[in-house]
Parts: sequence; C-alpha cells; structure tokens
Amino acid sequence: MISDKFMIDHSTLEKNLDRVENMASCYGFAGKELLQIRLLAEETISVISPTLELSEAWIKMSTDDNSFSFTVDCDAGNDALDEKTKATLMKIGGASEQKGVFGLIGKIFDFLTVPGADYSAVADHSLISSYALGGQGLYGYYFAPELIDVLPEEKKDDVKSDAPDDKTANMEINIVEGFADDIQVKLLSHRGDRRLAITVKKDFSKGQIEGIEIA
Amino acid sequence: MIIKNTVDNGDSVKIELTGRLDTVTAPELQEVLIPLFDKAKTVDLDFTDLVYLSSAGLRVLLMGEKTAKAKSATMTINNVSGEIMEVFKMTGFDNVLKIK
Repeated sequence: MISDKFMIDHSTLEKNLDRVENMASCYGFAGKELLQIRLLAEETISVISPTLELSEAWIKMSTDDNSFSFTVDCDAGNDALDEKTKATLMKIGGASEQKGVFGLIGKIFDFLTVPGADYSAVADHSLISSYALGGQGLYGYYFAPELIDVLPEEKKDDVKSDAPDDKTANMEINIVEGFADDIQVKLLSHRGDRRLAITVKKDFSKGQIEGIEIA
Repeated sequence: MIIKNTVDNGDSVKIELTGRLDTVTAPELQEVLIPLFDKAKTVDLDFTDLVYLSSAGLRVLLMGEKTAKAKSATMTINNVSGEIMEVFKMTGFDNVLKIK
C-alpha cells in the first residue's frame, strides 16, 4: 500500500488536484476513471471549502490491490465554539436537508454548532476504544449513514422543486455520490479540537494495471 | 486557456472550448460568455475538445442559460463527450441546458 499526504487551501487547488490525478495515474487509472477521480477530489474539497477559512485541510491518498481512495481531513471547530467559527460551519450545515452521505455531513455540522451537543450518543462507538487505547486522548466517531435518523433536527416544510437554482445546491453532492464507489465519514476529537474526515473510494475496474511500484 | 476559438457573426456567436472547465478556468468562460448576450441572439458552445467539467463549470453554464433566457436569446451546447454527459445527467442539468 502506498500513501501520500499534503495540505490543501484555496490557492493551491489545481496543483493539489494534479497531484491526486498523478498518483491515481501511477496506479493504472486512465481515461474516464482518472478524470472521475479528479472530479471526486475537486467536488469533495468544494463541499468542505468553508472550513478552509478556519484552518488548513489535508488530503491523504492511499491505494491497495482493489481500490484507490483519498481522505479529505478538515477543521470541524472545537468545544469552545466562537461565533465566527459557528457561522463558518453553518455554511456546511446548510446541506443538511440533502439526502445521502452529504446530507449526513450537513447534519453533523448542524449538530456541532449546537452548544453542548453530545454526538457520542449518536455515533457508532466501534472506533472509540481503539483510539483510546492508543493513550493519546484521541477519540474517533464513525457516522454510518443509517445513524442519521437519530440526530435531532427541526421539522422543515417539504420543498420540492426542479428549478435550476435548486440544482446548484446539490451539484457537488450529486457528482461525488454518483461517481464514488464508497464514502465514509468520521469525526475525530482530540482535547476539544475536532476534525472531520471524508474518505472517498474508487474501485479498480478490470484491465487496470496492478502492482506498479513508486520509487 | 479554456477558450480555443470564438467566431462572432454579430447575432450568432460560436465558442469552442478546450481542456477542463473547472474552478480555475470557469471564471474565464464567465467573463467572455455572459456579456455576449448583450448583442447575440444565439450562442453555441462547442464541447468537442472539452475533457472535464466540474460543478464550477456547471455554475457558469447555468448562469449563461439564465442570462440567455432573460435576454430572449438561446444558448446551446454541442458535441458533448460521454463522460461530460454523465456529469450533466447526474446533476440533472441535461434537463436544464440545451444540449445537442
């Protein structure tokens, strides 16, 4: 398994997307799938882009025999949430009405901006013990999409529309969920600071070259 | 450069795009496309050499479509590759934009 990690921000977006694409290319992705990986990276970064106002985000890429994946790791605020941070995170929370994984992300950010919210009550605890045993005070929560129902939310009027403006609100989400083969969402908390990690995976199709080594 | 060539016949303008229409290049297209509708009645975008389209590009195309409608003009997208057509379908834009 080969991996690479680097920092992203608004000004270096194209260079970082080139890096993702180059690594995927080294592992045999080409043509349409290569462009899809670049597109997945661009749209995922676009979803979390408000957090770049808070601090740096990171992309970590890895590959195994069957798939290529990248994880976008971004700031999710902290327990002492100031108004500016809250306002920034609520920009992502605006997606909470959407379905699927990115609706989940929006709901998580909605939840995080509520003072004193205890997300441990609604997360899958399977990761917590492994992190705690590491002795570093790092706690992780894995949000499976099926847990979304237990998160508190206000009832909102159903608004159904095919108007073009509604489509722009869903674009990044629809593209990532349409092209990705798997998406996972994790929230990590360390001494009151929180980070959100979104992992997007693309499976190798038949005919791709395996076992290429990078010096 | 996202724009490979522009043919301006007054009422009718054709723009040939090349490469990627993404966060980096979308502003360039927006700068050229939107003002065209002040005079042109027909704007044709040729996607023959366009290989990549992201949400940033979709926003500009939507802006173009809305501007065209507001000015009683028409914007048409031609020669779309299979990959880009997938993006249009996935986002529902195949029902919003005029694609040939």
